[in-house]
Amino acid sequence: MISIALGEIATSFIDVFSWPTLLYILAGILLGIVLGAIPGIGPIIGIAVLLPLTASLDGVNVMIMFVTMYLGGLYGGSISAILLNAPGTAGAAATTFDGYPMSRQGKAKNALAISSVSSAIGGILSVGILYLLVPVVTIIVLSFGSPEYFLVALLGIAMITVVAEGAMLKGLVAGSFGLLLTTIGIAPMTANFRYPIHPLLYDGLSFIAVLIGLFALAEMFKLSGEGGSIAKDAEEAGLEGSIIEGVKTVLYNPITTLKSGFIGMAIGAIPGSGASVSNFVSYAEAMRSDDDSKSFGDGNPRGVIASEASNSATCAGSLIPTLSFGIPGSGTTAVLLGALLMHGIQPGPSLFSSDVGITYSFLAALVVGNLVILLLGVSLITRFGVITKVNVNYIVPIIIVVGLFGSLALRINPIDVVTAMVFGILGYYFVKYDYSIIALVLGVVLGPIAEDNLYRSLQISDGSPMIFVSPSQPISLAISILIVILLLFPIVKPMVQRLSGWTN
Amino acid sequence: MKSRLNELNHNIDGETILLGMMIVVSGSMLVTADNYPTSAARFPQVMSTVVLLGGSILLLDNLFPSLFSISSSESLTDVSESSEISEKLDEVMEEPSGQTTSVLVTVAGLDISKFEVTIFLTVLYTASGLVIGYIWTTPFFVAIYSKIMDISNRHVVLLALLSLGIAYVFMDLFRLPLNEGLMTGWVL
Repeated sequence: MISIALGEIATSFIDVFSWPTLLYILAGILLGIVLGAIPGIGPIIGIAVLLPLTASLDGVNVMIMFVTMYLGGLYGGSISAILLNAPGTAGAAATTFDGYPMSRQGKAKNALAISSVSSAIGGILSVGILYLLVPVVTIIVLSFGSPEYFLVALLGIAMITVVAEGAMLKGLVAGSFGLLLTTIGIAPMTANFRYPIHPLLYDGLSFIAVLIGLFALAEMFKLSGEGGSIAKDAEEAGLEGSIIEGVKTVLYNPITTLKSGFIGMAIGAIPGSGASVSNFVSYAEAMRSDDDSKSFGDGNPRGVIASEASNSATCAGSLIPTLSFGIPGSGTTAVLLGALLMHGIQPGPSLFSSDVGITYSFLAALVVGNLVILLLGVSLITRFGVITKVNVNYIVPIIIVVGLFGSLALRINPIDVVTAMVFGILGYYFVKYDYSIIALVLGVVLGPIAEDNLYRSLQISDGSPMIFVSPSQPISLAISILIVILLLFPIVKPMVQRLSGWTN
Repeated sequence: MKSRLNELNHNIDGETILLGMMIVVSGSMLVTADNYPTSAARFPQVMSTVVLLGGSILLLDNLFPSLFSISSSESLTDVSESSEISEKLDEVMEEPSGQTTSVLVTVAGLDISKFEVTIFLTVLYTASGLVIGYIWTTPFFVAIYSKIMDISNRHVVLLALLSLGIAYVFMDLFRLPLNEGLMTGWVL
């Protein structure tokens, strides 16, 4: 068993070092760094826009490019965080606390080197843990059937509604609205054309067009309202300092690096809480456990290490629920899930049994991607500052055009352009009023899978919904209980607090 | 009664419209689902009921916040472990100076927010592209947008040419009928 797994791992490394896979990794990392370094853009927009254009390419290689693009974006976000005090992605927000003060103190190169080395170490550590977790995940995933998969889809939405920003009810409504919209079009079990608003909707809404609308167009509408280049407004910091000193700083702080990597990996595995949460938690933990906690916020390099090691580790962590149960850990992994489905790679048991080689290829690509980040980060640091000066007004119309064409490219169905446009506007207002966009996307992506498994489960039980709570189905029962607890916890918690307040 | 009406009037905003739209869509989908066989109707019925009920509660909360306090219900995550971290988090999450969504541009003597201009132009571009073909409308959309955003004339021309190039690549490589629209044979 172990020798088979080691053989698969070895093969996956041979695969990622072969042509053209290595090129996909390099392209993914570079694109990710560039998109991540531009505040407000981020890898998610790049993946959403590129997604339909990759339909004719090899699915595994494309997924490797997208996964490494996600990783590159998480690192790229630190460049503008350190140089401009404006995080390129939410995952690098805590990097600004100490990264920018270091720049102001003439240690920009130190901070950038710390960022790349700690990102690489944190990332590789998390992949190492993931390798160890694969056999455990395999046992769990292989014991799942239709009722469990239906409930896991609901659990994913339930977890995101509670973990995501804003109120739980808003998340629940957003997720259910997403699930509802997937029922437009031909019904999977009876071939009825449901909600025949227009004949072009016979095959339903294109989830790729929905993803492009929610992530690319909505973000462009938001950016256009903000306008201009962030570098223009921010005080530009000079690139001074020492790369060697930066590398040494990380090596002299192994505990902070490893602990932050572990925290990032664990938080990434929780649906709905990606790098945007893990970098703050790691930063807080580094600050709490440090002897010199008062220097945090004034240029303490351990602050940069904590934030960067954790956000890179989140990438591997978020692949666990995405690949095993089809529940994305973050907005970017929601788009990655869409990409998996578009390329015919079904998340679940096959990725941990017959197609485990694909899973190992993703992990091997992450290891290589982290090494590329290390090399690029240390050798090309002085060149990266240029990226942050891009004026977003140049990018907005081009991304809108490419996004709309991309939504059309997959099915050549004019309704997809309208879908992307409508969801772009809807996404803008969802973000504006704190409705979880990830819950909506998850609903749209998981809708057909959830309905299909619901239908199959009810067929097995002759129409009885008791199959989901029957003691003879312990996993289903446990997931059902977990969903109820998750949904009731935010309601019950304040009541309990109020009651304990009265008794005190 | 009068104070409730005043509160109602005062609280109607974009979120009211968003919730109203979700309630109308889910309500109509719930009613229409009755026409389908049980196995095809069950899932949309359950989901539309959740949206309808949840959306109605949120709408009431939005219109009469003094009576409800749903939207402020707690989240499971407590990211900030100390008040110091929390303060720093707030600092970072603040919009950088001069970068609010109310950035204005002057179009024909009128001050309009850049966001509204972008939405208007994108809707117009999407609709006109469907009617006459995107290959003809794309350079105009990019040029008009860039000009309104105060980009120099030289760069406006370059961006318009770039967008035309992108359109040609999509037409050639992905076989998209971007030179066709409803007026020239595309069927919607």
